[in-house]
Amino acid sequence: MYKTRILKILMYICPMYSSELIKGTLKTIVLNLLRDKGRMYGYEITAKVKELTEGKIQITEGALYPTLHSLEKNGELETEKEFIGKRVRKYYSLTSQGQETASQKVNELADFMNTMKFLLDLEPKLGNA
Amino acid sequence: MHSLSDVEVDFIESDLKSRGIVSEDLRDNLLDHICCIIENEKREETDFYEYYDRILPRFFKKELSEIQTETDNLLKFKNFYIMKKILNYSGAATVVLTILGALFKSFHLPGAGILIILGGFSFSIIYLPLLIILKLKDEESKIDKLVQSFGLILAIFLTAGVLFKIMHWPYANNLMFYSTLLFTFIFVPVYFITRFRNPEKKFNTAVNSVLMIAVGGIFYSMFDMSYSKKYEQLMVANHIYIHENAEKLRNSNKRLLQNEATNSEAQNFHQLSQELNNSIEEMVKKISESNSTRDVLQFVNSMDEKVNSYNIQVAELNIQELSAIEIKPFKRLNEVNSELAINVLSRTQQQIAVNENCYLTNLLAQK
Repeated sequence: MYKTRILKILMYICPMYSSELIKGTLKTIVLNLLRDKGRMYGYEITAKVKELTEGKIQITEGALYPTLHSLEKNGELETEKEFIGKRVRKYYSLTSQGQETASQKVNELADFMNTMKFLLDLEPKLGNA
Repeated sequence: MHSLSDVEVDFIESDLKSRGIVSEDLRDNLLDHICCIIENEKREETDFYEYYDRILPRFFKKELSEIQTETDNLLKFKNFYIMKKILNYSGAATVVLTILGALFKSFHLPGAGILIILGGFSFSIIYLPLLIILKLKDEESKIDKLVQSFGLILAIFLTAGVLFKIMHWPYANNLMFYSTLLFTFIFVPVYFITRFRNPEKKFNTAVNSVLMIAVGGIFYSMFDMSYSKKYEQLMVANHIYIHENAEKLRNSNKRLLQNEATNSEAQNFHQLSQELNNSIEEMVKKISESNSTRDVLQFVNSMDEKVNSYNIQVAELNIQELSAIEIKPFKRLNEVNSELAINVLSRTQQQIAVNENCYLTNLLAQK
């Protein structure tokens, strides 16, 4: 539900999403995805976003991992480690604080998109988010 | 699907490490990520090492360590926004407290001192240090960061110096003097030289440097400025006036004393007065020669006895108009400038002459 909503919103911005646009929405995308999927690891997140947006949004690893680490430190995410052969895979999932932040962020972004639509004259009048 | 061997996994991990991914957590994540890419996206016929070199640039713009730096920054500056908020609040508090303090001071309302001191504290202890920390985070060059931090530290010392001065704490003058000196003659030139070559910053740098030199220079000249020449001339004129009057009194005393040639008490008192007067005269000479009061105390200490015996004599004479000589002000002569010291001494000389004159007049009246 949120997923499609966010996608619809993002489609409005620009067909070739620049890294600045993605940078500002990365936290929201990650938090919302984790809310839908429960737990995910890094590669899975990039793959999923790419698949859902048909390649229109490609999260760069250089932005994703710093964000994941800072969200974890802030207490929004918790991690589980699983060993796959010689390597460790870290699964991320939302904490209860993260759940709350995810809703806030999605609402904020949806509202922002609505305002932007109005501001950029993509829709004739300002409606409620 | 390529299944990765342990050797390949070890290779990736050590490569990540050598490229500056130092935190284990992040390295585990990246290792797994790269392994996933290789397992899912690499074609069977492509060489592992060749493919690895091809996909690695996905992770960075210039070099892989960017990802580590970015992570560190996000973690380290978790409190970045809180710090910015505190910076804004303490800045606002500084402005409000200082303006209120100044207003209170002007209208002589109670609490002016407290307001100014609180304003100074929030400025030098909260605002400026936070500004340094936030400046260090800026994406400027290392030299700029260093230079600006140096300037801000000097500003902290200068503000602390002003605060110390208001509170009458020790070392206020030193704090103020040296921070202004370093600020004006070292920081501003360094600031100018390091930034002037950058064409974007050229104009701002020039303007800022002029402003800072002007303010620093004015501040500096205020320290080095002693009291005005006019004041100095006034003090000298005052000294000459007192000295001349004392001289007239002494001459008059000599004439009066001729009547008392057989009075041993009068001769004795005259002797004491003259000795004390000569010692003081010597001190005046020393001070005016060296134009400083630095070495005056060694004379004062040797005068204790003379002053004591003079005062005992004065007390024994028991005449109302006579005043004892106080040695206490002498002990602090080294703390004042030479003009003031000479004035204090010449007033004492005058007092000695007046005492003698009163005594001799008294004798004359009794006859």
